[in-house]
Amino acid sequence: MREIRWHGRGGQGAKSMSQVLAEAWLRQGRWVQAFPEYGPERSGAPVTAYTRADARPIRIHHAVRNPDAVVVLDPSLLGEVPVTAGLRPGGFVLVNSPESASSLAERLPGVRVLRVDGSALARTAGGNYANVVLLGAVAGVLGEPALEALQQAFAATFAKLSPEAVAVNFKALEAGYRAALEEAERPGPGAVQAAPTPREDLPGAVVLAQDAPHPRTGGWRTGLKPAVRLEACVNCLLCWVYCPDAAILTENQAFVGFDYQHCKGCELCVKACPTAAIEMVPEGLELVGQGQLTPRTQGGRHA
Amino acid sequence: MPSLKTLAHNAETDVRFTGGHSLCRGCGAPTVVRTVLNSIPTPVVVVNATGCLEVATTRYPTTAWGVPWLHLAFENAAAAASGLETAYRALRKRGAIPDEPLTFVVFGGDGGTYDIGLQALSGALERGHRFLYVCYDNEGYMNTGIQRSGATPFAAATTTSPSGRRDYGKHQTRKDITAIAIAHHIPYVAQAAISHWQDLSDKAVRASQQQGPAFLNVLSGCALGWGHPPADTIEVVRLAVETRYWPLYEVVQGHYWLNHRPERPLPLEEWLSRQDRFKHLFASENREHLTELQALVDAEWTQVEARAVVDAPWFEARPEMRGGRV
Ligand SMILES: Cc1ncc(C[n+]2csc(CCOP(=O)(O)OP(=O)(O)O)c2C)c(N)n1
Ligand code: SF4
Ligand code: SF4
Repeated sequence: MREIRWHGRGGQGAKSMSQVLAEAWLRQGRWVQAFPEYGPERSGAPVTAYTRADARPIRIHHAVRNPDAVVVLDPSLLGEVPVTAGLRPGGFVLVNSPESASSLAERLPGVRVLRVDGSALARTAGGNYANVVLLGAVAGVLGEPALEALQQAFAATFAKLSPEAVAVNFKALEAGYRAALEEAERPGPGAVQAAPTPREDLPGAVVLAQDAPHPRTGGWRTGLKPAVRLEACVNCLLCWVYCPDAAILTENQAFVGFDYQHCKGCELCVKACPTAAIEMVPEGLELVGQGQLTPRTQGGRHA
Repeated sequence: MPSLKTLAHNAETDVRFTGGHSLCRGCGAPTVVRTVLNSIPTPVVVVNATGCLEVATTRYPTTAWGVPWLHLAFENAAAAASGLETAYRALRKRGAIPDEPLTFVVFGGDGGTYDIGLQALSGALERGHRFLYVCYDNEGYMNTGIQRSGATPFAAATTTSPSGRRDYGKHQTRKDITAIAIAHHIPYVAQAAISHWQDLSDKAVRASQQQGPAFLNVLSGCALGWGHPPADTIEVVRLAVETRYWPLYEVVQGHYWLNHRPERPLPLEEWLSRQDRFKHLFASENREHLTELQALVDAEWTQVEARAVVDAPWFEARPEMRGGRV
């Protein structure tokens, strides 16, 4: 049996690709499954989907725990989701990224890392969606299903697309299928454990709140982060009360900055601030403390 | 009347709700939860109905809650809270647990409150359990992809009440759940909105001090379902209040208090035009429905206004209203 796990963000098409892959295998006479993890598929939220294929009927119906291959559609997920969880020995992680395989491998030590710049290949093919390129690429590495089966499955799944759009996606699929993938592996502990171990002394799969991992949602931001000029802040705390992600940090009831691990970049704090002390700045801009602009910071609105 | 400093202090010393959840960018629901929980002085136990809030804050094995939290099903949050409250009372009476104050708080979406959980809610209110039910009202079944609910306003477009060449959105009028709660003759019922945090915070405090059931209907926001940029959530909700679409009022032991009377009420269009779900109402063929919606809003406002015995500014402290007993 082949088991594939897909990681993407809501809107990137991880779920659709898990289905097209299954559909292609089905066309080659396999028994298949494709399903997403039930959960919030909110735009930007991490989404997980699974594909299974076997020569015999598949009798298990749970999430893929020990994948042969993991496909990561968005490199920012690497810091957020344990993508290597349960990876089978000999398995690989395929990442869509402009970053080199060796630098990706630093962040995923002990597993075989393959990378393809799916977004760039998709653009060359005339499209926008890296997911199709990654679908081609994962099939190329596995040696199955055949490219033609993938293309037929794609056309059947997206029957409403115009012939032009289908042609673009066929090109993207082929580009991924034939792409020379960059590969690297760094020594390290290997695949991480799937989930915190449930308490053995309690029934079911109970995890205590204090043992629960705390998901980082900073990766939801799309290129901008909030920053503050504390000298303009009057500490009204309106940003604090309206931040949906509790990402406004206070010390002794005074606003001190942002929790960038959890801030999703919604800009509600910017709108809430009566003195315009908060503004959105480029993600890479270097700030003081926990997100402060100083009169000398270059690149902010007032710079 | 808690200040934001007090709320921040409470949140610093007792973290009841954190980030790290997967609610949408700019979602209004966390503001309901944080403002209510950070205002309540006693320890709390939370019961959560199924919906965005529950699904997105408790993806196994993670949680955004720092308080005891229970989820059973979509339809029975109020029944579950009744059971918890009764058990707690019984154990206290028996001396099995310390005699400490504790507030039971339910959070349910409008789907879970107006529609699917209504009979459980009605039963719990009628039996007189001491608990606070908070509806975070985003006017639709958002978690499953924006379906119409009993809370969806007349003429709003949802995936199950679409607008288009042949239709103008939801045909039915919004159910007045606040009035339904009032009809249970419970000690405390109020309507609030996330844009008016002080009013919401005061109401959470007063509600938690009652000796019987309290019901709070809070207009939340949903950028995805209402169709506006995430950064506009608070502003859009504020416009709902300032156009008189969403009156802020409370009913304390049968007495109506109007908490906020917009000085210069804005035209309803100012609220509608900010949301894609009402976009179609600005087409000439839908003008009559817009007029109809305006008439519904006016009628509700007039009714609430007529009942209000006292006009109370929403920020005004009213010590005599605190700790009311039935
Ligand atoms: C009895 C039952 N019916 C349907 C569902 C599917 N369901 C889960 S969440 C949800 C929508 C919840 O809507 P609402 O209560 O308004 O909260 P929101 O998601 O809008 O925050 C639905 C229909 C369910 N879980 N249980
Ligand atoms: S942009 Fe501001 S309000 Fe939005 S999540 Fe970040 S800190 Fe919170
Ligand atoms: S769909 Fe609406 S209510 Fe649900 S998480 Fe998103 S913004 Fe919040």
